[in-house]
Parts: sequence; C-alpha cells; structure tokens
Amino acid sequence: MSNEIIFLETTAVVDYSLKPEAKVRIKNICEQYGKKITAQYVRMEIKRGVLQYLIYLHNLIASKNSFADVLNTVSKLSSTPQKYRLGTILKILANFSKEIKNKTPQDIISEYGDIPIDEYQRRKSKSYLRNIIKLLWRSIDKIGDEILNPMDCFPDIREPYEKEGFFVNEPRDCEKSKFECKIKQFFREHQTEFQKILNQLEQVPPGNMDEETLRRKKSLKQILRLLPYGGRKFSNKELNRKDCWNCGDAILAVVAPHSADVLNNNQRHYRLICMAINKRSVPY
Amino acid sequence: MAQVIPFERYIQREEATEASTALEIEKIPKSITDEVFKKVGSVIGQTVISEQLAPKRAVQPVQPESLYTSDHYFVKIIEILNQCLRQLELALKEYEDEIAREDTMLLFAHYLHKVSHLAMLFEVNQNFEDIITAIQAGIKNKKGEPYTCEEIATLRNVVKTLRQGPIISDQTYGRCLDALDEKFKLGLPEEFELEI
Repeated sequence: MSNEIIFLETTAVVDYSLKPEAKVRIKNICEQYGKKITAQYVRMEIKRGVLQYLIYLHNLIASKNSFADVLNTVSKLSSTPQKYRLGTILKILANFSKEIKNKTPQDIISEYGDIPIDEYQRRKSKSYLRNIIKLLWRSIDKIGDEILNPMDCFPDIREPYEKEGFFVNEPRDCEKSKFECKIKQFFREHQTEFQKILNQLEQVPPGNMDEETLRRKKSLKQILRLLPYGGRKFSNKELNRKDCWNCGDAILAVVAPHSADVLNNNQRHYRLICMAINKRSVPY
Repeated sequence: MAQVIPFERYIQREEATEASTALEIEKIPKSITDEVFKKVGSVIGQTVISEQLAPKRAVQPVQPESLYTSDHYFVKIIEILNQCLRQLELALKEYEDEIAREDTMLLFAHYLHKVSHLAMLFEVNQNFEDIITAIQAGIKNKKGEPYTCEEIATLRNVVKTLRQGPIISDQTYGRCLDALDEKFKLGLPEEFELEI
C-alpha cells in the first residue's frame, strides 16, 4: 500500500455498491492506495440521481398489486434512456426472483402452499431494491476514509427514510437545503483550474462532443463569466444551480486533492478534465 | 368498602392470566416477592408463604419455539433455520475438504429457500425477508465460486441472529446487511447501466 490518495467520483461509488464485478475491480485498485477520498457532492449527485430512480422503482412496486402492473407502468413512461434503464433493472430483478422461486423445495410448497410467480417477483424485487437502496447510501460513508466538502454542499442532506412501506427521498435537491452553499467562492478559489478545463474542452472539435460535454462547456463559461461580479449570485438558492450540476465531473476533479488520482469509469470525460489540471484519471 | 377476595380464588385468577403475560426472563428476587406477598396477605387477611408461591410466578428462560404452538409456521421457520445453522457449522468444521464443504453449502442454500418461501407466504417481517433476500443475492453473485471461511462465518452469524426470532428490528437488519455487504457482493446480479 502506498501513501497515495485515490478520489472516488460518483459513478465509482455507485458501481462499488451496485455492480458486483465493478466492486472487485474498485476494491483491488483502492488497495494500492493509502487513502480513499470522496466528496459530499457525490452524495448529492447520488441522491438526486440513481437513488431517486431506485426509490421510484421500489415505491412503484410497493404501490402495485402485481409485477405485471409495475412493468406496464414503466413501459408508459416517456421514451428516454432512463425508461429503458429502469426496464433493464426490473428485468434483472424479475429473472432473479424467478430463479429463486424455481429453487423452492416442493415439500414446503405442498405443506404450506404456493405463491403465484407474479406476486413472488413483486415481493422479491421490492426486497432486493430495499436492500440496495440502503446499501448505496451507506456505501458513501463506508468507502471513503474522508468526505470532502469545501463548498458546503448540501450539509443537511438526509438518508431516505421509510414511511408506511415507501421510501421518502426528501429533500431530494440541494435547492431544498436550509443552507446556502459556497460554490461561487469555491469557483473563485479554483478559477485557474476551471479555466484550464474550459480551455481544454474548447479544443475538442464540436462534432466530437457529446451532449453532456456540450452542457458542461456552456455552464463553465456562464459560471466563469459571473465570478468577477460580486452582485451576481451563484448558489443552490439561485436558478443557476443547474450550471453547477452540469459541471459535476469538472467540480469533482477539482475537489480531488492535488496529489490524488481520480477513479472513474468514464475516461471519455475524465481523461480530458484531469489532463487539463495535471491530475491522473484512473479507469476501473 | 373494598371487597375481600378469598385467597384461593385470587391465586386461581392470577394463574389463569399468567400464560398470556409470561414473557419475563428473570426470576424475581425473593426479597421483592416476600414484600409483595406480605402486602397481598394483609389485603386478603392471611399470611402467604413465599416459598410456596414463588415457583408459580417466577418464569424461567424459554426457547423461541416454545412460545408458539407446534404447528405454527414460526416454529417451522426456526426449525429450518436450525438446519441452516447446522449446515454452516458443519461447513466450517470440514472447511479443508472442499467437496464436502461445498456440498454442505448447497444444502444450506436449499434450506434457505424454504425459509424464504415461508417468510414470504406468511409475511413474517419485512426486515427478516430482506435479509434472506440479501443472502440469496450474495450467493447468486458468487457465480459458483467456492465459499471462503469468512463468508461461511458471516452467514453463520447472520443466521444465528435470524434464529433468535423472525421479528427483526431495523437496527438488527442494518447490522446484518452491513455484515453481508462486507463479505459478499449484494448488488444487482447482472451488468446494467444507470447514468447519473
């Protein structure tokens, strides 16, 4: 083990918790470092992103009488990539439940009675989702030796709680935090680094840029433009908080200490960003 | 004026209600029972000898299954959990013999499926059901890899906890989930994408 530091960005924390294969890879990489660090910003991104999707699925299952109803409801969502991702998770859960049910010994079914497959899938999937929701939230504290929060991001963020069989994920966004963050001050303190990232992104031919990078570039420009003006606000309490959310990858790369490597599963984004600020992007 | 109840009738009435309230584990100290009986004796007009009454009142520790009638599904669940526990202890004992150990673990999973079915069928307790699901997910995600000693020991500790009674508190659920997460992979069993 070295004295070096590894910084885990949002996807790395999520994959560690939800993807068994990735967990092994991440664990092996982390073992080579002396310290693992993540950020409160990661917690905020997880809460308003992946955790919200899982909670939606859990609550949908809790509110329906059959698994077929759940599938039907998800199929009626707008045709976005998220709809298909949620559908994939349901399919995985349905297969797992079916496999477990098929392994139920016949003697116990004969003696006590059977459970219809649809109901079995509904209950087992709900159970699985509840476990991974709990684990995902806990993993943030478990995985990091330290959680950085230089911009006072969402200090009153709370674990989703259960009420009458449902998860409540409030407050979901930092907008609903009781505290105003110091993201503008953070950008001012690290203006040079953010400017370098923007310069790097501007060198990418527009045709090679994905939507996320385009949004990041635009938002970085907006933020850097308002920094010199004391009167122009930029925080979770302002409408321009979305610019902060669009710059997630860049913010996390800057939050990572100078000596840290940034562990991620998105080399397309992180390689460029880290290169601009002389940090190492480590894929898993 | 208060009605004086004959002592025999008073005791009979107390004994009749005892079955439903007899969940105390500790024996009541003699000094306390003496004091109580002295007061009871003074109310009903006669002296009570504590040695004659104490055995009827002090309740000894009980096994969970003895709280339920023999055909109750709770008993069945605890019986099967005992079988699970036996398999895990056997697997630890014969750990060096890989084939014997893995065969024993197959039996453990077999019994666990029975518990899972009963827990779901009778809607025993959500936390209980979810811990069983977590174990099943952990086993599934092993994809046939042989069990390590630590994994079996973790399963034994979790099953021991479940064995204490199927009504699991949120705290115990959290502890079991953390213990399982430490040694097993509890995430989704297949690759998927969920962008943030």
